[in-house]
Amino acid sequence: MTKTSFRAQLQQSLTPQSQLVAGSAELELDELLAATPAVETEDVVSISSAAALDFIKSLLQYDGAANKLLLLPATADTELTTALQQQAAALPAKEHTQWLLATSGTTGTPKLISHSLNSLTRQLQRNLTKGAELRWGLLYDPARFAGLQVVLQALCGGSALVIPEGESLTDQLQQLIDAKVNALSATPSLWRKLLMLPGLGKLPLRHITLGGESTDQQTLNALKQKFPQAKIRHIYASTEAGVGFSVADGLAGFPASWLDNKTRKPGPDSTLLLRSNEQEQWLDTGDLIEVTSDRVYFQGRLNGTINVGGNKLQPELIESFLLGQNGVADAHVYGQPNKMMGNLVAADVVLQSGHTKEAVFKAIREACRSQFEAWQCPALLRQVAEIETSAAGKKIRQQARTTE
Amino acid sequence: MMRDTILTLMNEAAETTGAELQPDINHDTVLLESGLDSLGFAILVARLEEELGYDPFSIMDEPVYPRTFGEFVAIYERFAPK
Repeated sequence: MTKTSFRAQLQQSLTPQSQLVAGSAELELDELLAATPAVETEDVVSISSAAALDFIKSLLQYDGAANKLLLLPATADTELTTALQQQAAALPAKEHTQWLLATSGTTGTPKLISHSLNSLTRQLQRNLTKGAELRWGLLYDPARFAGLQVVLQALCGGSALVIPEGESLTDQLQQLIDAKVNALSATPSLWRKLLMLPGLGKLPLRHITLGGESTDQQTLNALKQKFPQAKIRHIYASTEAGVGFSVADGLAGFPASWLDNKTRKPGPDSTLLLRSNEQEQWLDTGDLIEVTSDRVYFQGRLNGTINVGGNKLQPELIESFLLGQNGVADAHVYGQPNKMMGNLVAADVVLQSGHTKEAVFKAIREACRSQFEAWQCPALLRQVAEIETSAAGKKIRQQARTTE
Repeated sequence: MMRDTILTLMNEAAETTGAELQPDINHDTVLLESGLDSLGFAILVARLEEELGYDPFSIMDEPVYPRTFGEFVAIYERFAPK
């Protein structure tokens, strides 16, 4: 079938530093390759990421041999697995092995997106001299788009890949510190959680990547302050589009000049439209954008609107405002169904230590009132210990409910 | 006691919506003249549900529309879990 398999790619990118660290196990990549022979098989092979090392071995064994590799997230239950397997079996075969990824689905049911190894690795950094100096930490599920990008970047870039074990973020961070990880990718939500952990400063970070959610200025600033030497970039990508772009100037959003009308343009609903080249159809990302004179800012999902008595609000607007308030470590804004207004704006807030709920909430109410309309201000403020994130590290956003 | 809880949260709802509450809210104050608008009342009822654990307007069989502050307090007292 395909000429360049994952094995073949890895063989080209080996450096003396190419290494896989999974929990306490350390594996040289060339030994892993030798110990994992290719397997001839057919049609759909399901690969679960519940055990990350086995997941990577399976990629090595079956890419180029199976028609379809169904990448199952660690959290997939029997019901979801069966549904995805049926979807996978129904897809027509292609020339190359298809890598089938489930959309992370901040809302709705996951669907499968078909990629090729080529499309997944097209944008990776291939400088093996630089790559050999990097040690990547994996905080995402490798069966998700963002996690797979980290795995492929580390392995195809000649770097080491460190896969922490265990559920607790504190434990995982300690393993990353012990393994001297210096390159790390996480969602802005996950970075905010990491920033609250006292140990984060011990990571010798040189490459910081944010992705999977829109990145706010406060989180960028906090990372810049903590890691002044690191290169910080935020990625915009959608599983559907396969590729996106990365921004490295330390500012939220991206330059307005990037809306070139060839591969990126605003759509009729003020969402971002993308395509990988001028021959292809435009893909509506569903991500709302605001275009100012020199910058484009993400404003949340088109279908994430909160409807308050007929007025529409993007939760991200209030969220980024709350993140800029003194004493606020993290915030999640959402619509709470209400008989009278359809929805009320509700906000869960994580406080920084040393701040009281009463003082911070009072200041938030006053600041919101001076900045926004009354219906836009959080009607319900709640203190929470942490903001819940999905398996993909994103804030869990429910489909906005309305009474229209 | 119930009256105090409601007054505290009325003040909070007024703060959130930027409304001016009438200076001396009492038993006979007409709700529509209290200073809170419909958003303010929606917030008040939602906050009371958070604090008290129930929303009388969603559990009552026949809809009752309180006219005065006194009637509003009475509804919350009547539906309080025994």
